[in-house]
Amino acid sequence: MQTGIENIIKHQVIELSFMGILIVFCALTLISLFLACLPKVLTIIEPFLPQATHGHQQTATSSSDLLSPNEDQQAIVAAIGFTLHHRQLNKHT
Amino acid sequence: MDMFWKFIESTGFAQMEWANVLMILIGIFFISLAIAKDYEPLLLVPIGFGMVIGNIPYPPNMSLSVYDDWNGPGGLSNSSVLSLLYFGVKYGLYPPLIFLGIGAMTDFSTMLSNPKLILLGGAAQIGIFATLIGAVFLGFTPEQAAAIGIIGGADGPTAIFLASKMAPELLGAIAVSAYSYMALVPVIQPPIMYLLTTKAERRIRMKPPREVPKLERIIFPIAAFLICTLIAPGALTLLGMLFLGNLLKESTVTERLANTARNALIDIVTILLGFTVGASTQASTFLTQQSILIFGLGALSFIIATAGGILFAKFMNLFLTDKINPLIGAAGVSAVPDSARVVQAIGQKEDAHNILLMHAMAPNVAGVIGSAIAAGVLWSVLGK
Repeated sequence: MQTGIENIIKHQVIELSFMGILIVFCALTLISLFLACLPKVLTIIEPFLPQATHGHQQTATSSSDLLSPNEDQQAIVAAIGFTLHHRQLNKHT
Repeated sequence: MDMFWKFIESTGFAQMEWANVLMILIGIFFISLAIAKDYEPLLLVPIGFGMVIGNIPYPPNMSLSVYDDWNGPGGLSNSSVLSLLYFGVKYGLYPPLIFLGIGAMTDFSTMLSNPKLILLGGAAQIGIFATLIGAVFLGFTPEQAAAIGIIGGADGPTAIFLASKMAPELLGAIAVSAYSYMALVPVIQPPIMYLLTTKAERRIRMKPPREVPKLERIIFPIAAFLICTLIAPGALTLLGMLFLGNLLKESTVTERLANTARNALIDIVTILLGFTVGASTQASTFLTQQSILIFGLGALSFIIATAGGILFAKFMNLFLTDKINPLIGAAGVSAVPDSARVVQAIGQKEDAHNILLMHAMAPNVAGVIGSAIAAGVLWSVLGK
């Protein structure tokens, strides 16, 4: 194994390292600039963008997803509400 | 009786060497670390057990190790099961699949809400390039040095990917080194963080991130992929899978695919990758002077990367009115989410009500992108 400074000079690794970190920074800076501008651009173009439609494009959901715990609770609350309302109506009639 | 002695000679006890015993003990130590200290258990348990398996001696007429593959005598029919599982490591198949899962489980919204933090993920990559120079100084070829340097990115899949392309002969040592340092993030990073920051800096509170609209989160993976891979096409496979995974998650119309990618798929690949990487550390191929140098350089790379992120955060503070807590610079190494958790723990020691985790996730995920770009650049320039 050849070692030492000569090896570094021979393989030009200092230039390579400098170029490498510069490219990484360049790419990440571009992403950063893009993300900084994105909200402003979207505010301008949003009225012209198509609205998301749901229906046949939705993916199939598993049976457990069909009624999430939250929806389940809402359904129970609605059922209780309906029953109470129905009883109230019966009292008055 | 001859048959009995022949059997005795074929047992692991008869063929065991001190080096195998040492590697088995290291494997058990990894498993203990994972179970007792909870250091990266998802990785260290498969790697540790793989190390134990890979160091059980067996008769030479049997094909059992990861190295008994289809290139040896007998071709495919004589290749071992472990070598077939190791295919994904040897040819860089597993890392992109892991990236798909990472993309599907990563929420980039903190990064999107504060884009300047992305630069911290770039600064931490200094460890990769500094170690590249150090490794060439110590006599490694530039290709080997590049693969060793990537350890500093604290990104196991990227390290394996690049090593498989540029220095397959060092793959086992690089992979074990990368994953060991990833597991040791809570041990390695805090002293550097304390050394490079003052108490007042560690107490800096940052503005809470804004809520990122869905459209921004959908546009990000596509735009970031285009920017990165047009600059560094070598990162195409890794970043392509990372951003595909993220698009599956953020689009919300492919929830089933995103779920599979971030749960079942990544778990399966992690088991296979960890186990076979561990099994590739046979004492005869692993316990060499080169492996010791790789471990040393890996530690150096990791330390420089952590310091680079912190110092760059302090440098940015010179120009910013809303100061950054420099601790989050340490999360620029891409050990997701461990380094962000370490930042949170250190920050909370100084100020119990300071929540840094969400801020630290921004440089953390930027570090994943940064190390993949660095790998792409090195592969493009040095690859044959």
